[in-house]
Amino acid sequence: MVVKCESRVSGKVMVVKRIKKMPSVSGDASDEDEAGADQGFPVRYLREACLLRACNHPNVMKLEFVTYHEGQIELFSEFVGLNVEDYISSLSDEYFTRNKQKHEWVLQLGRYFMKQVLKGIDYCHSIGILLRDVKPRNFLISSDGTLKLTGFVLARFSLLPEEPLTQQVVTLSYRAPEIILGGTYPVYTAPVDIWSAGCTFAEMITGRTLFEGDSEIGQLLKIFKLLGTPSDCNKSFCFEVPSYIELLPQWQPQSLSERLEGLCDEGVDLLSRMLLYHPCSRITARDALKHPYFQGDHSLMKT
Amino acid sequence: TETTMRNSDLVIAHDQSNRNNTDGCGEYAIEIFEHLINTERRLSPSFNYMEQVQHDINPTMRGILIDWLVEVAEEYKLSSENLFLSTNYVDRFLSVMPVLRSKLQLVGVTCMLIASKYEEINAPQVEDFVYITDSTYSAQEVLQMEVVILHALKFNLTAVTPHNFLTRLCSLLNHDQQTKHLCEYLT
Repeated sequence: MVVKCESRVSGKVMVVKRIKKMPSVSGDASDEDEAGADQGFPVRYLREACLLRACNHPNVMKLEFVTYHEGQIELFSEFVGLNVEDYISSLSDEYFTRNKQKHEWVLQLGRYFMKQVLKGIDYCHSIGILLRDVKPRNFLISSDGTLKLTGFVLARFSLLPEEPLTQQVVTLSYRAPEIILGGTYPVYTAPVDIWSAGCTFAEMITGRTLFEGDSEIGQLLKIFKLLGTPSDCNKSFCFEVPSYIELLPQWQPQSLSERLEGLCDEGVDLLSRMLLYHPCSRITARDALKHPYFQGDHSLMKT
Repeated sequence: TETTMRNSDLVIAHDQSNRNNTDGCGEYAIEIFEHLINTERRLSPSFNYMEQVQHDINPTMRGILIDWLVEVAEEYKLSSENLFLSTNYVDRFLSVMPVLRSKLQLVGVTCMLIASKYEEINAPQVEDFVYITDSTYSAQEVLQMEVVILHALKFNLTAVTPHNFLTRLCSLLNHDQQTKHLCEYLT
């Protein structure tokens, strides 16, 4: 449950995310095995809380403090508004149709937001945090138009890149191919966030999810259908891929500029660099910010 | 200055060659470590808490506790990073909160529980930590202690440990696994 509140001490308006823990089963020994015993502070919120606490950047949501009493957790953070996903779906279809003034505005907004998305990711990577859940829903828009990165439930501090991590990360539609193909404990790192950011970018421009698979294999098919089936998989990825990949249809890469109507050439170029199969050739957040797409003055005009 | 310059050049060259490795975060490596050094300053225990804060325990007891945590980590196959983190939490908690000797083991085991949640893919259960203390404490007590410790540490759990730097240095110097394990043992 999320509520808005105002501090009586500082007058600061904050958002409280209140998490009710599973009802404690202690004292009810018979049910203990079924319901699973009380494990204290849940792992996911523990990571979210402490990683957000470690961050200090204008494009990352600021977590003011955390309270934990009698099984109820409250995360107090700075006040922000809608998330980007809800914002996109609140825009009517004509914002995403070509040759309209409104579409032009969406394209500008996309660039304005994307720059902040990348700044937030760049900051997190620069302090060693792997986000593992970058998607429009996890970017909140504050009243002055600043994007705030949130959703650190799956994030982790990762300095040991050779260490295998869990596969169960990143919302499927935004999941990078090396996670899908990597087996139970794939080795992956910062580029997975860039893949997700690329999907987010496309979604902001077109108003639709770029790859919307219903299963892991379905997701892979959607990706290959647009970007082409890699001819030599072991070369395209940096690891041994499962053999079933040979059985998939051979698609030719489609034109990204057709898929993202109206987006300028620089924007298409940036997106294609964010969606490269090989994690190491994928552009980093730092380099993406230096890309020609972001050169010049792109402040947002009100319409 | 010239040697330092050359050293930093070497570091950069290493990071660039690492870029082609699977880890791919070479570009950020230097910044990450600058951040680590700052964090280490911020999230370190006080050096004299035994004299200043504690009345009932002494350095020997802390030593015994840490030795025991090493055994627990071995028993449950926890990572060495986890062990370093637990030690950091124990010391930081003891820097702000006086603890009775009868509760010292509870503090230790709870810190390890928190570190496991933070660090491990498959963390041991609360019951496992109760079991390893020979049921000296109940699960309820561990959970209550968890609340106290989390608040005392103000949820700043992203502490920096010698292990972080070690991994980096070993990678820089191209040490093999054996050398790395020796270094780990020494720290």
